[in-house]
Amino acid sequence: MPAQTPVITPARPQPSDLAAASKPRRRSTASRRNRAAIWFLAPACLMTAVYVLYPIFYTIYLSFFNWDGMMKPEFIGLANYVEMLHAPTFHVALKNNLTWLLLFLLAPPAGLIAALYLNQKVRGIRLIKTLFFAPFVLSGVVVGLIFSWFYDPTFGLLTLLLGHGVPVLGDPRYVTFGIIFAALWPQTAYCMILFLTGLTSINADQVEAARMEGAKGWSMLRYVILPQLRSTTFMAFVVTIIGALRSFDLISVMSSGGPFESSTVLAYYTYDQAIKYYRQGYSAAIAVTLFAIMLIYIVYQLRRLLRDER
Amino acid sequence: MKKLFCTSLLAALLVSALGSAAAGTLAVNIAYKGASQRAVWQSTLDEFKKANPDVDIKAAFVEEEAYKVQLPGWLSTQAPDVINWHNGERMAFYASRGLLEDLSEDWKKNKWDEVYASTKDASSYKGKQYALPTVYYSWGLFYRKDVFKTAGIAAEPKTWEELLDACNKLKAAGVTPFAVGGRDSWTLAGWFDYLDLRLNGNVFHQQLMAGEIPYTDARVKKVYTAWKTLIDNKYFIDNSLSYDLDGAQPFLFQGKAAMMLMGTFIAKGFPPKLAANMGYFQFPIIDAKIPTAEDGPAESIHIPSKARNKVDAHRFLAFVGTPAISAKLAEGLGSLPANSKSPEPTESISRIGFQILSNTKGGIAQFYDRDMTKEMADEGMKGMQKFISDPGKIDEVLNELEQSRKRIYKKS
Repeated sequence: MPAQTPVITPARPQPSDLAAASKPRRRSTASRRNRAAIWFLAPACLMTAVYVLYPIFYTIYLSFFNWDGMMKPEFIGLANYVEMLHAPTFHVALKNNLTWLLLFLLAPPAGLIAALYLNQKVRGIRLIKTLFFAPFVLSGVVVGLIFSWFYDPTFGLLTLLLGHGVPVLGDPRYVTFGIIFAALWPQTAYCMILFLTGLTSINADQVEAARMEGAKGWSMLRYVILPQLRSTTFMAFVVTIIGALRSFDLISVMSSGGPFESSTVLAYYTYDQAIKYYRQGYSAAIAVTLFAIMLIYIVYQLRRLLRDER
Repeated sequence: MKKLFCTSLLAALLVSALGSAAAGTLAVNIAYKGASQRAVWQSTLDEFKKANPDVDIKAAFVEEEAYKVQLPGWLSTQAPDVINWHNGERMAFYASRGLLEDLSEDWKKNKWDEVYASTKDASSYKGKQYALPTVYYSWGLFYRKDVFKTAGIAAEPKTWEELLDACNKLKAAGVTPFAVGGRDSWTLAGWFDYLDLRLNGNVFHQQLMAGEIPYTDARVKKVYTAWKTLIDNKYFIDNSLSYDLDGAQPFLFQGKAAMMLMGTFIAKGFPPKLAANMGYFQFPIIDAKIPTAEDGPAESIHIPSKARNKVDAHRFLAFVGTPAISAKLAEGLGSLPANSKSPEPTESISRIGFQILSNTKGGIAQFYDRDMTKEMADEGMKGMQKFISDPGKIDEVLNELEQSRKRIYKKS
């Protein structure tokens, strides 16, 4: 019977419930509070539904259609996915996404090193901090342009340093690495900021105690600092991996996926198919695939996190 | 559902174009590149307004790349009354979906059949006209006059032998003969078009564009082989795939390269100091037996079939279709007037371009990616980039293109 079990969230407040004056007082306060919570949550839920959930489900729905964005969509079942699995470009994009994922993981350690270096009390460190932070403030397009000039095989700085031109962005063997390297620049700065914030919240007493026990250098970092930075590290990795999977802007600016689609990734391939060839359904299928990859990864990470928390 | 999707996607950018257009308001959407192009369109609209005070004009200027993205959305939902776009396959894509107004009546009524005879084919889809051509431009070889002189080249090359000879002289003088920005794959397509038009002629070229000829055909390979000779002799700048059109021009401006195959529309962007030093000539003849054909892509304006104020839209087209307006647009866009009654251009490069196109005997092609479906064109241009990065792979590239042709044109 509902009255005997402690119900915290009544599914729906019935009019009879409200009218019943004989109910215990505690319960009516609780339900009122819950109702208020629902009202406070409602705008956010509505926004999420309209701008996040609806597009996701509509994209999944769309991926079963052949649609040029203008005429009537035609249901074709899984044909988009079948075609995608046979398309050489899809495999190139997937491979490049993996390369991005692996190399991007250099950003958190690099950010940690930069943060440890900057977390000192030295004259002028603020200026150096600002310089390290600068790339993160730049938009991806600007970073892409700067690196395009840097890589220019005739006039660029890299050519001056090496003494001869290397067509980093014009050679299918180097182009992806060249772009990832450029993307690592702001990403490292991002991770550095995360770690710097983490470092300021470290318990000073513990560090002091550890120092009195004789810990310093590597052992201090390994057994005292890093464990306290665990949640920051987790954040840094999640942000970096999502950043790697949705990489798009730098590719668009630096190579447009070229030469001959050798540097494309799933996100760019999605855009290409929808915007250039008006293949909304096919493009949706690629987007759903990318979404699934991200979802699997995020669920895996969240589960790990929850297990650790317990 | 579809409508909701499209409108929400484009809403932010469309507000100006979608607003409630009352009767007597003409909504015009214009794609433009750079301030000078925008200005010439604006003044054309102003003149129309002066001549037709009863019409209110609501113009939306959209940068060309963004325009390409938004156009399908407009055409299938709430369309403006007039749009500018490209002839040929680009137009046919929308005409075949019933999204453009049939203008055949206007063509008859306004006598466009005569003055736009050379661009009528490109304006037609299944025997009906869907476009009013505005301007077109010529393609040819731009060159540095002073560099030619110091390398000891007496005259502009007219034949293939003369061109190769000029290249050798330039190499000896330490100058790379050709600049090309291969990152923009269409700049490579210009080379393919001209080598194919000169080696195999326009009839073959058009059949190839229409997907009727396999890419494994010996004549296609001949084009790539001729191209490979130029690459093997190092006549093109190093690492051309690293440069787009803007990145390739400094080679010319700095005198590191002597020539560039390009459309006349770039002439407006030359630095003033160098402009007098830049010459322009027709792509040399390779096989004297083949009638010379040229690339002459046309721009055009159209009325979407979902336009609300079609009456005024037809009036606007008739206005732009006059020789004077056509000449004015051409002047402002750095191109040639599509109207044959328009006065000849006065500026020297435009005039050479005008003569090249009016003397052509083999016909006018629209350009690689405007003569065939977008998807096949992109596959073809990707193939060219692959070929440039390793010219030894001709057969591999052509086999892949043949696979794409079978898939895209549904040939087995």
